[in-house]
Amino acid sequence: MKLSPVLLAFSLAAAGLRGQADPWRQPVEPRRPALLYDRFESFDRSDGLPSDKVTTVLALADEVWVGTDHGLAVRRDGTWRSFTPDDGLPHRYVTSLSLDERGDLWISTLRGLARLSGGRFQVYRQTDSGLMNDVVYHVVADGPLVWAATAAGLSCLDTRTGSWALWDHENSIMHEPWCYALAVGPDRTWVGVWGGGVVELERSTGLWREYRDPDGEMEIDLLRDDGPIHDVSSFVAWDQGVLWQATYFGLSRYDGRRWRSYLAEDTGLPGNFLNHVSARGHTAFLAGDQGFAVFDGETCVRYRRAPDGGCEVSIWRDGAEAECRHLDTAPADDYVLWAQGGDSEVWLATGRGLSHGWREGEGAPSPAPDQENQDGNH
Amino acid sequence: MSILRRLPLLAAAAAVFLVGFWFLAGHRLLLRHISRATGRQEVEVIGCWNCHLPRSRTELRRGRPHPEPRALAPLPNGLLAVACGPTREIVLVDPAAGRAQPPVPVPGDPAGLAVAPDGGLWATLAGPGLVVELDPATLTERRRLQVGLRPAGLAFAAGGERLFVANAGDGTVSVLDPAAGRELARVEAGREPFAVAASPDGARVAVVSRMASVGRPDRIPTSELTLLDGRSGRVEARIPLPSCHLSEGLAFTPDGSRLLVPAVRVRNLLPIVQVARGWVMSSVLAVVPLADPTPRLLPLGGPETPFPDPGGIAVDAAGRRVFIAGGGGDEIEVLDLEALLAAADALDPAAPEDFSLNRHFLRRRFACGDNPRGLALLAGAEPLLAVAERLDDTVALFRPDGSLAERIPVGRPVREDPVHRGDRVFHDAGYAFQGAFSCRSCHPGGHTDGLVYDFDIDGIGRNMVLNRSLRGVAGTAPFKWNGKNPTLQRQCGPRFAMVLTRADPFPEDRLEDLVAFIQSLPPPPPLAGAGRVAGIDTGAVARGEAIFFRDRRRDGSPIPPSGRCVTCHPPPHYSRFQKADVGTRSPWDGSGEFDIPHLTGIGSKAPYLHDGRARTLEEIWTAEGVGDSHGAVTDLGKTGLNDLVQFLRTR
Amino acid sequence: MRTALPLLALTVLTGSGCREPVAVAPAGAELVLAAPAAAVGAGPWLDGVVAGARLLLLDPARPDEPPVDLAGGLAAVGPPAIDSAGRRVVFPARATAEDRAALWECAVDGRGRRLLAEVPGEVLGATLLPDGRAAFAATVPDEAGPSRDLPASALFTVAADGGIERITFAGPARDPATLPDGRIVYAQWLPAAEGRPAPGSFVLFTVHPDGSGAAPLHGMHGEPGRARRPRPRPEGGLEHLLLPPGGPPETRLVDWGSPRAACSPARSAAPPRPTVLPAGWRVLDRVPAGPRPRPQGHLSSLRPGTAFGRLLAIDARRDGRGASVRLRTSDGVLGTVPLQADGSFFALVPVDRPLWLDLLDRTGAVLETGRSPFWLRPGENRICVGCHENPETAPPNRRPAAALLEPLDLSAAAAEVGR
Repeated sequence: MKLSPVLLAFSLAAAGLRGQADPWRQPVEPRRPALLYDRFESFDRSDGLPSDKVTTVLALADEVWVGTDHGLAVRRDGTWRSFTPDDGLPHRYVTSLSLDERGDLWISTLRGLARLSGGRFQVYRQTDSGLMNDVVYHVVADGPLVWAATAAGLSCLDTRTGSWALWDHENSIMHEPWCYALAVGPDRTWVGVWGGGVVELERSTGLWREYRDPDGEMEIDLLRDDGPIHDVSSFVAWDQGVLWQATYFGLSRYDGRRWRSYLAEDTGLPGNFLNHVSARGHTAFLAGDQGFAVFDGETCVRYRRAPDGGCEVSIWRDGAEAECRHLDTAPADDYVLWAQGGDSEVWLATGRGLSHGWREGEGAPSPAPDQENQDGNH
Repeated sequence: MSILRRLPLLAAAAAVFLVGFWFLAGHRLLLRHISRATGRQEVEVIGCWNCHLPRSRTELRRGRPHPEPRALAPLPNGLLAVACGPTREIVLVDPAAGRAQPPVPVPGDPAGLAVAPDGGLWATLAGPGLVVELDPATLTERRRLQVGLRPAGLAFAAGGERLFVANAGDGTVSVLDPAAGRELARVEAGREPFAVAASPDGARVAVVSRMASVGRPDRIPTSELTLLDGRSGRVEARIPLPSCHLSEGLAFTPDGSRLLVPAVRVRNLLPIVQVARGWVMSSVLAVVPLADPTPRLLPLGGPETPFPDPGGIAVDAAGRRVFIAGGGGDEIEVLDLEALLAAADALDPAAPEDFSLNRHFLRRRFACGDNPRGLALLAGAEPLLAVAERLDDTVALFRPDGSLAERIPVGRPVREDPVHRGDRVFHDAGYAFQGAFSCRSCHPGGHTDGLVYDFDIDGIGRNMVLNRSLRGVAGTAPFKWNGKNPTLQRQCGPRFAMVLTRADPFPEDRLEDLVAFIQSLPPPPPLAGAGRVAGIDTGAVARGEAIFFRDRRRDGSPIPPSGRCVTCHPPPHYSRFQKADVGTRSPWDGSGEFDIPHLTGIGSKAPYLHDGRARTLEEIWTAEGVGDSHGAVTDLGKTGLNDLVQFLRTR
Repeated sequence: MRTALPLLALTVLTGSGCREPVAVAPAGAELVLAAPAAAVGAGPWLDGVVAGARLLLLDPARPDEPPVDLAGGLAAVGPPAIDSAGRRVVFPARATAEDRAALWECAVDGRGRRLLAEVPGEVLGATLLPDGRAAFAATVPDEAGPSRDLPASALFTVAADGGIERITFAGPARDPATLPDGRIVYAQWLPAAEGRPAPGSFVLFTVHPDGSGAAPLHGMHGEPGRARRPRPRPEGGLEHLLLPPGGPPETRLVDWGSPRAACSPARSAAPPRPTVLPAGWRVLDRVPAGPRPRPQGHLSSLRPGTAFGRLLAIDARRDGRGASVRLRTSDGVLGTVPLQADGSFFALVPVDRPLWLDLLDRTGAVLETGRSPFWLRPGENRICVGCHENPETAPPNRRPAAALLEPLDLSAAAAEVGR
């Protein structure tokens, strides 16, 4: 059948236009060699952190911000400085951090959202603003917009107009309102919903899409690669056309057409109980309850503490362990809550402190990873 | 009998009929109508005009626009540019010749002026939210850039590569690349950022906000001094100025190490029982060292000589002097810069404000024209201080010793009218004890300072009330939170003098002028961008409007009239001009019934409720609401409440 | 006829043809009180009537014209005061040697002289208020003064209808004058205390014309000697006499910008002695008589008939110490008010009588005894920073905790204690 030239031209044009705001049409990245960090250092209360339990980390060019269960801290010029509710932090339990386009730091906590700007905290609560709920699990600043995933739904603040937009299970496709994590891409916002899989908002049209585990099984993945591996999303991340979903029952990957599921048994993930995923290019950095890993969909490099205090590095390819190495230093703990990775460095929030890993062959600890990866997102 | 002869008889019969009808049935019908519309059973004195507004309730008083020079900018060609907001003109004044050129119209009301390193004149236009570049000789427009709402002050930094504009209307600062002609960033500052200054090396920019940030009514109010990087616009520090507000000017010291910010230091947390010695407010100069940004507050007035409404400031590096305009007392203070800085260095920031310190750095005070605002130093054989005398429509040139060199009218002469005379009264501190403060001192721009005060007319610690905006009050009688003042004349009459100004009441003719001026003030504009996120209409405003006017809950059950928003807040003023009890009585209130506030411009009138306890619109129903006592809202949920709030922001 | 009738009507209606023009003192004129030196003696004269004194209106523009003697025919005359319009003069005087000194008034040209107010004591000096009332100092015979040489005195006001009201209640008060802001500045006797040696001293105070808000004037703390006869200067500032112990009296200038302890000596040279005065006469007082800006008025917020006033202190502690304050009158203790955590207290106190406050610790022991009495007027609301307020400083901006509580009522106890 001959295609009408006009129709063909129109389709190509439409496709071209759609591609400009299409999160799935992104350049294909060449396969990278396995990322290896061979040295680790750690920081805890003895170094000045407010707590050993580090919940999140945001490494920038010249400073490192850390959230813990007892406050916020920043490392500048080798010195740590802490912030607690006495300084204006809305709650001691910090869940995530995000830097906005103006250089202000947004902080989500278990009792409100805060912006730290010029040394002062401005606090938003559900009673005095459009914040959906005070239990804020994740905040992402994207241009003038600030997205907040809360226990009762999703909020978005336009800092230019001061207007809020709110969504929950009553005015969106969400199955339930418990929003655990966010990812923001071109004209798309993805929300990892606890028990609701992943929902996607096309911002320009207001249309929602829902990605649920098709088999609906809570304990097993009945059919591989049929969709999100589980409905209980613990985190989501997106970068360059790839959406990652971390769950307590494995990992999922979506490229706009095809879902892939990954389990520890056949991929080398640091356990199926994943707390966090961040993405840089097509590479995911995974934080779990048994270590952390770097995974590009084919090769997985897993780091776990060894009995001698060192680190066991296990490299998996094609469903099997291909190589194993030992490092003299290791992350502070295998219970990792947050991982911000880059080509030469990685920052890990663990249950026993903050860990910093780097590739010693590259020299001394270098500036932090590219800021694009700062939220564990695009 | 002819019809003419029967006319008196017919008239009498009609009167008897009407009276009888009223007493037998009309009154009841009226009560039923009111009860059905409002849900109130015990109807107090109510007139048709409470709901069906006559024209007199909806129209503003109008006055003739005067030039009202406010901002000044010396140009490299020796001329002085003068911004005349109400007439939408800029005037070039020739100081040497002692005269002004004919005014040149601009596409908006100019608020601030700045001269670029290349000599171009830039002006902010408050109404349209623009900053325009003008040819300094002809004032023809070269180009314009969109910035935020109601831009005010502006300044160049980074060698002219950056232009910072304070957007008073939306609390932001626009960071512009003038060469590229685009806005690089928009940064949040304090509440109503007003004046901008760049450090001498252009590396830093400071912005002072005029209003105190919204806070709890029992907390010390603070306004914000925002420090930004002069190139990136990144916020380096947000410095609170404790108990200070109403700053309209600031300047760096010549070495750039400190900021000088004139401000009003308010004592709103004390019951108002006396005015002397700063018990209601005083004027200070905040000296803020950048190395250790703890403000040192030095008194601008002496123990018995207040200096009300400080505004414009100019620093004479060569003469080591600081000039400050006192808008309320029509005076200029000349301060010795070295003595001032020494006093600041020696001051314990925690010590009480000691008026006697003023003697150490005050060189002199001299009188000037009515309501001085902007200042500018003119270099030349004889250095001169130019003063924009707003209410006299003149620019005065003073020698440093305070003697007048020239007084130059700007703009076209305009006949005086009651509104303009009232403007003079409004900004004249002479009507308060010792000339301590003016109406403007609590109502900048006719608005509200957003603070709660304790008037002692009914005791101490009782009936503490939020200061209400005067903008848009025309046609919204009665006044006062208890609704006891039927007219503005009563509101501002002898009792006002007894409880606040503690001096003579306004003379009757001045009182009428003052009322005319107040009645000319338009309501604050609705907040732009309400319900819009990333430029997209979320539909919140439309949904909120439906909620506001609804008569059924989400489950379909009917809402009685007493629970509908529109019952107490009908358009166009969104008030029924009566009192209502919405469950907000505190232990310190004599009554729970309060005058229903009109909602026009409500978005910019934070905080809310009679005692200011609700910091945001949301808090009216969340933290400070009890069930459905303030309208049927409990079925809305957070999303519905947000919709309602977005709608209110558009009123 | 056609023009005469309207003219006649106009004249009758306006009375313009029947009324004499009101005299106004010319600019530069002054009222001079002079008396034979023998009647006064060599020592400093401060106030009170002097037998044989003359009260002259001198116009320097007409030096050759015989001056008007406003007090001609009166047996004794005291210091004058003139209103801001330069039209009306008040002064104490005795009609005859047997009369008590009362308050008299007349026009600046001496016409319409009449007795304005008479009290049981001796009127010592007066001032005119912007609302037309006069305020005057007079002795109070049925009260005891600090010493025989210093009888009890107080300030009073008299209205147009003749109603007299006492407005000060805490020891001798003399030398009233009206400030441009409408307050009365006067000399208030305070007993000995810290920084004030025995037996006490006169200190300049200000008070509103209704007797409320009495407070020390800025610049007077720690001034050695007695401050008397404050006089606002037309060009600004305040002059007063300072009587250092054992030294000659000095004229001092209070510049409103001066720091606490530095009233400066008045630098202006003494004006020349009027030539109209006979030899052997001494000039006792000179008051500029020309029109000047009208002082500000003051609408009283007092509630006559109210038996209490409200007293709120922001922080009554001394150096952070103190648990309560004890209120007492000259008859005894009225009660004790606990201090809140921030040092504040709030009480209803009796009015129109001197009160003292003592600071107590937790055990009730006296930390500090109040030596300077104060008073409140009916329905007055009064706030002070604390017991040692610096009049040059402003209060802090914070809400006293006690302000949100019901005040402790100590006013009723006054009636009991007084019995």
